[in-house]
Amino acid sequence: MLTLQNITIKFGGLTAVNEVTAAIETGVIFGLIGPNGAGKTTLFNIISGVYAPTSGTVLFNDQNITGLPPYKINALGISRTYQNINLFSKMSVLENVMVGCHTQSDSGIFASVLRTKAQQIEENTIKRKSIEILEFMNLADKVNYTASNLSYGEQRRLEIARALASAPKMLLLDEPAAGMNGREKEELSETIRKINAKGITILLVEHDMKLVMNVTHQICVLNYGKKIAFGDPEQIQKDENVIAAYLGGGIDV
Amino acid sequence: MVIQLIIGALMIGSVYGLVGLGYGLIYKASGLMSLAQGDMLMIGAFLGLTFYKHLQLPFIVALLLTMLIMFSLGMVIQRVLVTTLLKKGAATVYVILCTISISMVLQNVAMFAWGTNVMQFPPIFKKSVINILGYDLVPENLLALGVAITCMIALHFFMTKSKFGTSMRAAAQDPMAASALGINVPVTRGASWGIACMLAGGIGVVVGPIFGVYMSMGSMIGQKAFAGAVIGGYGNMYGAIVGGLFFGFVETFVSAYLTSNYKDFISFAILILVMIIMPTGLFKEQVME
Amino acid sequence: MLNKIKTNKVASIAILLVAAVVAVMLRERYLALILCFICINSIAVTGLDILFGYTGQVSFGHAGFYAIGAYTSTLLAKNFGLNPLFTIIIGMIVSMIFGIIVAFPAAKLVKHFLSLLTIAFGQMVFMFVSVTDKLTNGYSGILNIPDVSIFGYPIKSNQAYFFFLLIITGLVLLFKRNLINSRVGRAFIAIRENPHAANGIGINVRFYKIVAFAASAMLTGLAGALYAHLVGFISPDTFMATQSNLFMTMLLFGGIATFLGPVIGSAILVVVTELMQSLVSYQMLMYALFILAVLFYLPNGVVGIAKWAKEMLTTKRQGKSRVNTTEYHN
Ligand SMILES: Nc1ncnc2c1ncn2[C@@H]1O[C@H](COP(=O)(O)OP(=O)(O)O)[C@@H](O)[C@H]1O
Ligand SMILES: [Mg+2]
Repeated sequence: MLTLQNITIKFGGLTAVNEVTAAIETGVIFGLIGPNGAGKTTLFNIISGVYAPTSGTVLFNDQNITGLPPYKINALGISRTYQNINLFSKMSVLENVMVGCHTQSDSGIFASVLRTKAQQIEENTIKRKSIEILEFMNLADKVNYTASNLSYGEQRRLEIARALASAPKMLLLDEPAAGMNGREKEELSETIRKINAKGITILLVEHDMKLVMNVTHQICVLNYGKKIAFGDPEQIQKDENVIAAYLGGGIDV
Repeated sequence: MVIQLIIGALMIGSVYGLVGLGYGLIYKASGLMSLAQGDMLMIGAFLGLTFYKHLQLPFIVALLLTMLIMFSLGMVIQRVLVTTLLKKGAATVYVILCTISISMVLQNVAMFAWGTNVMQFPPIFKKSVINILGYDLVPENLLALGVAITCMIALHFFMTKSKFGTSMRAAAQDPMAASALGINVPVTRGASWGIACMLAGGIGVVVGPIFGVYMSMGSMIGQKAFAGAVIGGYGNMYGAIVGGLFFGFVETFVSAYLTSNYKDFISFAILILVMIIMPTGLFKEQVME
Repeated sequence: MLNKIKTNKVASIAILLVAAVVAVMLRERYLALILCFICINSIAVTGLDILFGYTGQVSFGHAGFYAIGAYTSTLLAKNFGLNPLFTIIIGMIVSMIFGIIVAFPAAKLVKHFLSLLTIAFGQMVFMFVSVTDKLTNGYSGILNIPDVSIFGYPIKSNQAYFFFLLIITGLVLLFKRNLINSRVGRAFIAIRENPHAANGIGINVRFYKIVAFAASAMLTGLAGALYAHLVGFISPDTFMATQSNLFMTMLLFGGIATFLGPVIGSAILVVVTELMQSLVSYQMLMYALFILAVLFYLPNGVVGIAKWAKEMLTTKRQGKSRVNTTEYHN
């Protein structure tokens, strides 16, 4: 589904991602782990179009998407969440998800201004679909809350809901469990599996190793921008390079 | 003819440069924008006029006194109004709006205090024309040029050589690190607003005898200075001067050889073109998201 | 349920009161003129609201669009004898085209530089109409602008023009509400709230910023054209930077990004300006104080206070109010 070929990005003198090559197959839950500063978020930013890589190509379903702007990449079917929550904070929970439906609807300016029949029907569909997604993400009772008034965990779930609203083929989750308590994390694992069961390929960055080992099918490990290991969770847990990197990198496993 | 034009262009250009330098200073130090610089120049001109003409103080005293008052005014505006606004969580656009209302207040205050007529600033020199190397030059023009250049050089040395200037630059570059090093960041920010107003006010005193002193004298100068600051690379002190000089030359030569009606129109058109083609300005400062 | 009835009651009483005041005002030519000004400013400020309030793109140059609408319609009606009803529409479209032209560079710039670009644009329009004597008659302005006529009946009285404006203002507000409560409106607000996230979720940020500029310029241009045919005289004085700042003051004072904010802000500032006719020299000071009051004490304007008051009444028993009067609309 997604192929990364020799992706490199440099910020000034710093090589944040260094010659990373990986292939993510359709339907898997793919984990991307590594110590802080390893370049995971940067890689997400490259896939989603925030940065163009210095060199290398990103293929999505055999289409070259390297350097396309984020909104086009989203329209092609890659949706993401952010490590630092990036909600539309003064909009309501429902409106946040409705914005997510942008690419799934096409009423233009004139139809909107004149409120044509077709536009009204589309609006109703958007609303219904958004509420369904919020129910799925267990936020149905918060639809009218202002996004910024949600708890941390709820905001993370809302980001996932918004991303799902754009009907992605692939979902990128950047540390979705950060700031969640144990129960919320368990629910999150369950949700990730359920999303995957709908046929959505998932690329997951997460520091909580229990969660990662639990839900992912394949894992790629980055350290200082370089890919140092790839395999299924058992292989990764035994990999010496990985153990060394984590001991050296000093992150809590 | 051309020499006189060049002197005129240098004079008005360095006025723009000096006022524009204030914009850059404020932007560098606080990431904010003040639209009141032009009216600071106007207030400076009125203060200078009052000290020189009505209180009969020597010109240099009038100039320095005005600069002192303007410094305090700028500092007060930053410390009292701007900081309060930022503390309330207002976006930077609201600070711009605040400075717009300050400029309205200043114009109204000037109107109450000094009236709406153009006031003549008495000549500073006995001779109305002096002859240098065969060219007839207006001494007030030379004075304005001289004061502008002196201020620029003084500011350059203040910023690079003095302890306070270095702290100001440090605070502008990295406020967190600077305050960790014991630099009083709020004070340096206030001082940058103060210096910006001081420069504008001081230059107001010297252009008074050239243009006359009136309520709206600052608005066009302020905007041109702004344009200069932008094309020079907003936030870059030296760029502001180059940009200001550029507009000084554009308007002087456009009105001498092309059209005097459209000289301002052309200046603004150039500004917009530069913003489209080279949004980072000549000195490549960051202006985009 | 009870609350709903109560609000409806309050709303009906308010509408009746306004209608009564309007009826009384319409009996006098001068008072009717004030109502016309309120409508015209409401339209212009609604335009600014779409851009600044909803999309988060500031403009300190809207007087430029106001001028473009006014001069285009005036010149076409006067020089070619076209029907003003038609030239007003052309004025609106020309203004929109300028909106799009400004938007192309503007959509790339961040706040400060956007402010500057829009100031420069406003100044350029002002200078152009001031010095292009042959076309605009320069500082002296243009007199005897023809009246709007509908089916051959000229609208001569201020009273009749008010009803004409009332219909247009109503339509503008309706269209604005529709636009804001749509996919396009949500894209605007998303851009204001978080342009990066908006881009990431599939919104072409640049495109929608340009759309917002176009819509905004169109409405302000419409207002300018309507102004010209109401007053029958235009000169550059009306289109100075002060006018842009006045639109901004009306918007902020009424309440930004609200349905009625632009109308309330326009009404209050028009009325206050009229009341202060004899104190013209204090006018600027007054506008400045209005802006400062909003900046320091009422970031959400009059509508913000009204919302807060309503919240207080309805949620008294539940304790905390959800509407925060001191929160800025960044
Ligand atoms: N826009 C940028 N400019 C400069 N350096 C950056 C930028 N984005 C990320 N980096 C650097 O790239 C490295 C990788 O960061 P990141 O991808 O956020 O790591 P991770 O998500 O794995 O913790 C870090 O050293 C970070 O400082
Ligand atoms: Mg990260």
